[in-house]
Amino acid sequence: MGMLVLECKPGPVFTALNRIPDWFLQIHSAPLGADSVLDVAAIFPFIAHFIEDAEVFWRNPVEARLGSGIWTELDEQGNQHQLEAYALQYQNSRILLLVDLTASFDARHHVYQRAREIALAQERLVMSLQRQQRKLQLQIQGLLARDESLHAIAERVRQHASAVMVCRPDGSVELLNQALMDIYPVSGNNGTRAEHSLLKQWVNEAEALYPEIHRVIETGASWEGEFESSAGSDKKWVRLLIGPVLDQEQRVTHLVCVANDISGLREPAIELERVTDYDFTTQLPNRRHFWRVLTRAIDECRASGEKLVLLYLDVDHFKRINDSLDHQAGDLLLGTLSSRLRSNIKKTDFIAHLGGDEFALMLRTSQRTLDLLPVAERLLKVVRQPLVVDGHNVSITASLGIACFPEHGNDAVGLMKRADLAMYHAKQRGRDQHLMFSRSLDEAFFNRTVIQKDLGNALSGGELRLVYQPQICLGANSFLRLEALLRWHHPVRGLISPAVFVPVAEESDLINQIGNWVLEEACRQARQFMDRNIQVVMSVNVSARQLRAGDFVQRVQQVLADTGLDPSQLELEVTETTLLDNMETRAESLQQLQELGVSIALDDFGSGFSSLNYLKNLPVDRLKIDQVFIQEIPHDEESKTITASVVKLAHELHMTVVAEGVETWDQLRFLQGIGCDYVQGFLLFRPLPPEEIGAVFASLASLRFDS
Amino acid sequence: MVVKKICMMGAFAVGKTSLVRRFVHSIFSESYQTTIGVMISKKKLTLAEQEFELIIWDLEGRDEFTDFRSSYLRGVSGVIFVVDVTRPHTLTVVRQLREEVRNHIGEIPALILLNKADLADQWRLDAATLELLEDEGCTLLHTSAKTGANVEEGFLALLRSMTA
Ligand SMILES: Nc1nc2c(ncn2[C@@H]2O[C@H](COP(=O)(O)OP(=O)(O)OP(=O)(O)O)[C@@H](O)[C@H]2O)c(=O)[nH]1
Ligand SMILES: [Mg+2]
Repeated sequence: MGMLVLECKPGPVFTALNRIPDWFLQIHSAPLGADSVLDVAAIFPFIAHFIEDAEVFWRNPVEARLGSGIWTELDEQGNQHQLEAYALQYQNSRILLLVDLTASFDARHHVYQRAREIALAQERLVMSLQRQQRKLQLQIQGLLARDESLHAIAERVRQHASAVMVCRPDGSVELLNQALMDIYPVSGNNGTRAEHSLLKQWVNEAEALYPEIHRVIETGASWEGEFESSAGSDKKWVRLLIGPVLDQEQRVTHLVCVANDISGLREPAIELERVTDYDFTTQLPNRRHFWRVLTRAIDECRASGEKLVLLYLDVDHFKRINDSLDHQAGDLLLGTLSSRLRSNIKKTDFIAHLGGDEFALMLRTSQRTLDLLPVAERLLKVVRQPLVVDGHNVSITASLGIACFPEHGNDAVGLMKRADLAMYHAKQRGRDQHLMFSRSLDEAFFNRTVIQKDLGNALSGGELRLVYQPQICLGANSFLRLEALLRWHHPVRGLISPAVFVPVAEESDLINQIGNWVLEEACRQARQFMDRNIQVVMSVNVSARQLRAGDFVQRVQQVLADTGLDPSQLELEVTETTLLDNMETRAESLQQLQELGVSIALDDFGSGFSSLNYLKNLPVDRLKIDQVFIQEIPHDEESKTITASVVKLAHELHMTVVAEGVETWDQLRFLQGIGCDYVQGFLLFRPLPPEEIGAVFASLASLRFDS
Repeated sequence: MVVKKICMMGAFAVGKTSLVRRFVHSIFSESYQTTIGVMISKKKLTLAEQEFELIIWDLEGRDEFTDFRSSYLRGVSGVIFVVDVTRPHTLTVVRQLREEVRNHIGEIPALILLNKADLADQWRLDAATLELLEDEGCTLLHTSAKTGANVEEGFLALLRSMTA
């Protein structure tokens, strides 16, 4: 890579201002002239040509720079190099930059290549269709000429894939086949009338493109062409062939019409792209198509100074939702989602289905500042609207990442990466939200790689600790419930939040090792508390990966045996996500754990899958209501209703409920009022080191919440 | 030595690049590698004891994705329009391109190559349109980049009309 910077002096004479890059030497290995003079115009005729435009630009630089457009050179090895030149002015010097774009060119080349290959294939299909139509028409003409009965002819063409209509010159129909009715659904009560006018309709429709059609048909010649045609309430592209049958006096007795619906093949350019580059589930452009549009739009915006906004949308927990529905329902969901999104953007905006549960939207604007917040909010809101799929109520949310051209990236690849990164962080921050890319995200991303590296040592280096957050019983219970929470004291970077490193650990097997360590350590600590007569139930978080490991139940059993902790004093917390990837198997494992005497709590309840139904079939003892609901209390009526009904339902199913994230007395009073069993939160206790738990236990006896 | 710039123009995949490669390097490849932007080749030729260097601008194929960059035509001495005889649509494209060239730089020496002549069994061009073009004074030549038939002759014919 690297660019060649040249200064242009009158002549023009070019002198290189920097070291000649390697790619240049591959194309042209001759040595530099005296004083670094390089005759680029002789080496590259394209430059000689561009210099004329550049001269005009240098005399009056209306823009920051002038681009030459891309050209291709072969190097001495026969490899292609895609180059571009830029003219610019720098402190009164005329500068010419030569850039080798080959590396970044692959994606674009690929797009063009595919687009042209597809277009070629389309052309071939249309041509072969043309041959088939002619053949069929000749056959029918032959049969008519031989006075074959219409009935016999109808029989021959009945199942033919091409639509056939034989009519009199006035348009009255003699016969037609099924394929014709597939294109033109015979409307209403009086089919014959519609058929009668079909010839007229065709002629009228074709006339705009083929003014000669009347004359051709009237003179008894055959006609063929492609045009847009109304079929019921639809518009279709039709390829039509009309061939006359003449009697001895050369009078037209019949017209044989053969038609095919070629909407899929020969629509106008945009429409053609639609068929080849569209996703059939969502009826949206696919990734390839989006890529092309984005690349082109960025080029255009670069030239026009417009701004471009890229929104990258990913459905939250789609896999889990999809797995819980059957295949078609999943598609239906995506289809519905796509039409909702599409109807919420402007016609000039662009949306594509990139695959799976990812969508990309592109907005262009000439405004300097565009308020994206309302747009992003609106999109997330339409995603959130409840949906009935296959009789199931499904509620979905999505996370949205936003990146802008040119601030956040000046090519398609860069921009997509940034929007994707922003989306990723939106997910990390709890999903169902949007996030604009900022430099700090890049930093966060960089951090991830560092974390990944250091986390390996954390375990062996004893940098991980557990702290314990008490859950307070609002009724009468002598056991203190504690949730074990993980902390990482990084030797250099200090305390690192689990919200930061757990997701990183979850991407690798590290989460298993860490999870196992947490389990052992928490059980050991619980046992120690018991030994000191501090009665606790220890709650430990279990990750999906741990649960998925085949030997998890045995491991728990082993840890209990090793530490001597009574199973009834261990509670395992799983999230809905953990279960939904394979509900049956997971439920089985939980069942086995319950049989050991361990209790099971369902964490973050309410934030994800909406259906409470499946709860009935799960071996769960406790529900932990997601903090997002608690935080909205008491202002938000909906959250109050949800929380109250979760408590009620849980009780009906003989489960107890823990409310997380309790921060105010109002919240506490509300929870107490609706009969919530346990509360946990900063209002009462922060997570504490084990040394402080004894004091908590002692003080709890005197605590009263009914103040 | 006299330097002359010529342009290859036509729809995509008609064989512009293949014709140039055949002419300049005497090679042909069945695989299709679409050209992006411009690819420039040079070829020395002798005609009537005069040495010429042809600078051949192989422009990317015309389709709905690309726009016509008229500046590429600056300083051009002749144009080779290329048609794919198996694809009727490519003849329409050439007719449009001829118009555009004419509007930008007026009448200049030009030649229409009916390429892929080796695929005679798949010939799909409309005879009437070809006649029309001939009537308008166009020179048509059947070529094949694959077999090499008429390729060199084509370039020479253009050069001759440019120097006439
Ligand atoms: N049979 C046959 N195939 C040819 C001939 N010329 C080109 N082709 C094939 O046609 C395809 C397109 O050829 P190119 O030379 O790349 O076409 P182009 O006009 O440069 O295409 P773009 O750069 O995309 O505009 C390739 O697969 C070639 O092998 C020919 O004379 N005969
Ligand atoms: Mg080419």
